[in-house]
Amino acid sequence: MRRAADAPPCYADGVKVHVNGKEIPVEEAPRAKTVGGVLRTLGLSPEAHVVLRDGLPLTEDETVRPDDSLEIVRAISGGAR
Amino acid sequence: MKCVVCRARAVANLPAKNAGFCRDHYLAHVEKTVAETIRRHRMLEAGERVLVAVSGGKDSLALADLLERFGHDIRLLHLDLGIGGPGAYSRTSRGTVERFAEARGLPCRVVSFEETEGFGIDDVVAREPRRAPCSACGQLKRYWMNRAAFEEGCRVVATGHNLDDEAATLLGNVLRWDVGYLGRQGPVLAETDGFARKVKPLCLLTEKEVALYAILRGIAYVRDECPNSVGARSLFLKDVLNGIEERSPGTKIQFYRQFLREAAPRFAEAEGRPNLRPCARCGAMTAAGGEADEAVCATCRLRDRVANRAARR
Repeated sequence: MRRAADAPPCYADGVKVHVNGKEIPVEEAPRAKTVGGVLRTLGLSPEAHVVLRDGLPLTEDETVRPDDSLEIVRAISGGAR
Repeated sequence: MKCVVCRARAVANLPAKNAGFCRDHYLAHVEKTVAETIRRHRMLEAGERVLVAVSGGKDSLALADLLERFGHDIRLLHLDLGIGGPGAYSRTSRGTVERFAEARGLPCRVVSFEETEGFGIDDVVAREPRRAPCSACGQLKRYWMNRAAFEEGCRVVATGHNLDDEAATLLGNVLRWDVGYLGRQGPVLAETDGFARKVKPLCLLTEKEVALYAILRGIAYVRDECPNSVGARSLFLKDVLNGIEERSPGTKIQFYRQFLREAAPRFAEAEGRPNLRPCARCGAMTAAGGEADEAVCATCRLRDRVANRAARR
């Protein structure tokens, strides 16, 4: 996916994202500036997901860098009563 | 974002508390919350032996970690449910728990449904394909938690239910106005004849807070979901609540806390205590049977259904 010429240089279109252990195809990888932006682009609730970089949790305001590899872990589990 | 305590870079953001925390102060926040929950609800007595029910997931292993840190005399109980066939969900879960227990030198009792009941949850699914297995699974879990507690000399069983679990259950009960369940829902289920006390020390921490704790403590937990939980109503209710929480942080804790303060005592008073008597088949205490002379508990009725279906094949 090509980045628009006027997009800010910090847009992370090279970012690798794994959701629950599965890598998202490059063309579907979010191009967002922040961790919260990545979650929003993927339609994932920040209340229900933890985003990790190098195994460490990130808050939603953290900047995403182009060479980042992010791991998104769904925090919600459960069966019926 | 910075830690509200020391201004170092935050690893956790908690909008409901309007706070960010660095690793150390986050761990301290979780420990303080759980210690206060245990104290305020008088969950555990000093020196009491506690049976901690551990599935291998983040909640129960984080709970075991915390209770061990607090110096409680704990032993673990793992129920091997027989889900997912060989090499899959239940085997992974059991292995995870056994490694956790061994690394910490914690006593761990494993009860395999296939060995003790003669059938696992996969067999229940195969024999009752149109019924959701979650209620049968829950029934057997409750039965074995009680039985193991008495066999292990524990008067109390601790489970890893978190705020999302409790708020979703509460929402489900409210949507049905299930007065019976509303009268019994809470962080402590008192000990009664034949039933150990049940406590939920993580009930004021969101599921994400517990996941962050487990990750920051380096606890290896099973991230896979139970294959039977796909499409479960509880997951849908959790998503609904998280949708509200995003718009209005603090909704989940307020919903649950205010229920405990304002509503639960009224429901409990109106409902009274169930009339318990021993099951004619296995002797376990049960509220089943109504006015009939003999009562057969729900666990024995489940055993009968599975045996009958197996015989018909």
